[in-house]
Amino acid sequence: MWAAIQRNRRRSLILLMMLGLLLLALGYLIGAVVHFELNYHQADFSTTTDYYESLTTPEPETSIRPVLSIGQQLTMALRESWRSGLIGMVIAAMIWLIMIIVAFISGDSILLSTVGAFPIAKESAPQLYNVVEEMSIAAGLPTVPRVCIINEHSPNAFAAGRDPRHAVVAVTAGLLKRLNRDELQGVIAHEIGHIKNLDIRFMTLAGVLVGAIVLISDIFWRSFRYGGSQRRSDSKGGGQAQLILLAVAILVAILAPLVAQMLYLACSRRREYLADASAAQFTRYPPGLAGALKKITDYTTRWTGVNRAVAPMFIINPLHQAAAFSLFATHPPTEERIRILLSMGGQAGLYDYEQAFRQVHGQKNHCLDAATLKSAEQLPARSASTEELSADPIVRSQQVADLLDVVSGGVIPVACGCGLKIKLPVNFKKERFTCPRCGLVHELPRATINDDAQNISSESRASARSDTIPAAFAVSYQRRTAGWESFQCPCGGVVQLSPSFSAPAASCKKCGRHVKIQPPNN
Amino acid sequence: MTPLTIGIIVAGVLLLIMGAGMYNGLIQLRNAVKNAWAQIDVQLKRRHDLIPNLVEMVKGYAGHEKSTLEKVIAARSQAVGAKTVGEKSAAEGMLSGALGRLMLLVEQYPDLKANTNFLALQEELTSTENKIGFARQFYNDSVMTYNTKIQSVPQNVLAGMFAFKPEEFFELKDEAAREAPKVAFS
Repeated sequence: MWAAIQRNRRRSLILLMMLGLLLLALGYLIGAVVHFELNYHQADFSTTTDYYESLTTPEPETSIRPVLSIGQQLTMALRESWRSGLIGMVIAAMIWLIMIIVAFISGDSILLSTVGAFPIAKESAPQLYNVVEEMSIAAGLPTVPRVCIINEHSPNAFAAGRDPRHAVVAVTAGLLKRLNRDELQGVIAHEIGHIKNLDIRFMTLAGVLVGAIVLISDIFWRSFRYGGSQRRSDSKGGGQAQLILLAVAILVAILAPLVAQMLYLACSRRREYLADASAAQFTRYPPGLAGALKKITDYTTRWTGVNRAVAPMFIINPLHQAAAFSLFATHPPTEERIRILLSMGGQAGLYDYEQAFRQVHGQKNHCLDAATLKSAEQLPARSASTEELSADPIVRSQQVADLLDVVSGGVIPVACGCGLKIKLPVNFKKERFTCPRCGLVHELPRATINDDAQNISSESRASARSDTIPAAFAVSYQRRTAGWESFQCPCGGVVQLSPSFSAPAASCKKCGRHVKIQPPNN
Repeated sequence: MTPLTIGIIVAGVLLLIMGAGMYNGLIQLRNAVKNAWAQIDVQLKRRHDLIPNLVEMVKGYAGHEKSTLEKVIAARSQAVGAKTVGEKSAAEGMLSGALGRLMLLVEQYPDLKANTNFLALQEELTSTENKIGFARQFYNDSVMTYNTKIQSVPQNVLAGMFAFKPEEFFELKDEAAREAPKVAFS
């Protein structure tokens, strides 16, 4: 595993350097072309006597001005325009740098907000949180990644963050509804595999670089078309060298984005395989991930709201499902991924994944390199966990819906005895409300002020509101049931508790004070 | 200086640099093993903390199943007292076995299984069992990498010089526990 990461790092560095050189070359060429566009009239090198004299001994009797070869003209053109070329390079590098800084500082928060992911605490979704913890342990990550949930019906998941210490794992509500524990474990292990293999940092860096190349080519194209119309209005044509330079620049501007994207995508696909292999190794249970992938592909309604730029980050591309192999796909075909995982034959190591890969692809192909394989060991897989879906689908999807309501901070679900679920707005002020179906009056319970806290005068209590550190649980609340419950803090703010809430205290979102929670008497 | 002496010095310096790199690699691996063991310890501690809660809750519904409960408690206190990797392997294996039997017993009490607090505790316990499993897996993988490294040429020379000793694997000794490392609830 360690060796694989090291090699990954080296290969990534080479690829990044190649992309960087491509970017700089593009910048240089564009700078040179812009130079001639700006200083149009001095650009005719075809008959420059100065240059001729500097190169050859003068021929005194010649009256015809010698014509230079194209190569010489090109050298001359490049020699004249090197300053502009350098400026072009510097501008390209600066665009890249700015994009990298933005991507590093706020990349994951931008990503999370574009897909609408909410961070969740352990109490709200204990199973998901536990699975993330389990997989971080299996991968030996230094810290447990933050866990987010996305309000989306189609099942999917992604990981983000610049390094293993600042990582985020996000899953959609649809995923939580459909997968059992083994499958959820497989998906999370795949994402943790991305984190562990430093894929996210690399894909961010490479993605930004590809973005910069595309952007600069695009700018060049637009300015060229504008400059081109100007040239046509001019009466004389430019020198040959300039035209060649222009042609080369155009060619590079067309090809560079394509080549860059293809390199990037090839890398992306390879990393998907490696993450699958890591998931098998971490869970020791390849059928889990295979089952999850199957369920995700079986869900046919596409998630259309997702941004094109973030689509490659997901476990399965939410926009284009790779049905067959394609040079422009971010992920390998899902069916193939499933087939590889299922043909690992009771084994779960990286070596076994490679064997299965060869079996599916034919002997010659390989996904891990020889040196990684040398250090990769064969590992036996475990058997399936006995746990099935913990509740029937309806109850489960209801739980997930409640969870979403709570984490998105919109409403408080209150269950009435008649079976109706009433959703209250978070800022609900009244102390009681009536069920619209059965007419039962519900009271919104209030947290009680403790005995010793009652001695505190109302004045000091008012000041305690602003205090961030409360007088050791001056306020407490006795739970009535172990289900979803909400109560009012003395400040008027509503505090909600989930069925799995087990902490000794909850904090009021409005005034920030800590309320002691007493478990229900039963 | 003759070219020979220069050559010898250059070769010596290169050898020293390579040796230092190898030594650092070994240290890195050994620390990885230590970290992995610390993670197991954290999870075992968590299991020991959860068991009294579990026993209390089961007592409320199935107090007459004394012998099974007592076995769990005895196995727990033995596990808490264990010190070395080998001792812990044995004691934790016993504890896993005893817990598994307790969980089989719980199957017969639908009231207990419907209790929300019990369900929350059950999720915690399942997850802790899994975490122990995964921490063990990571530890054993680290130990394997480390042991292989210190036994292979040329690292074995350095390992001999600086006393890098092979580490012990962490296996759960109880056969029953090996068969069913997970708590089977539903």
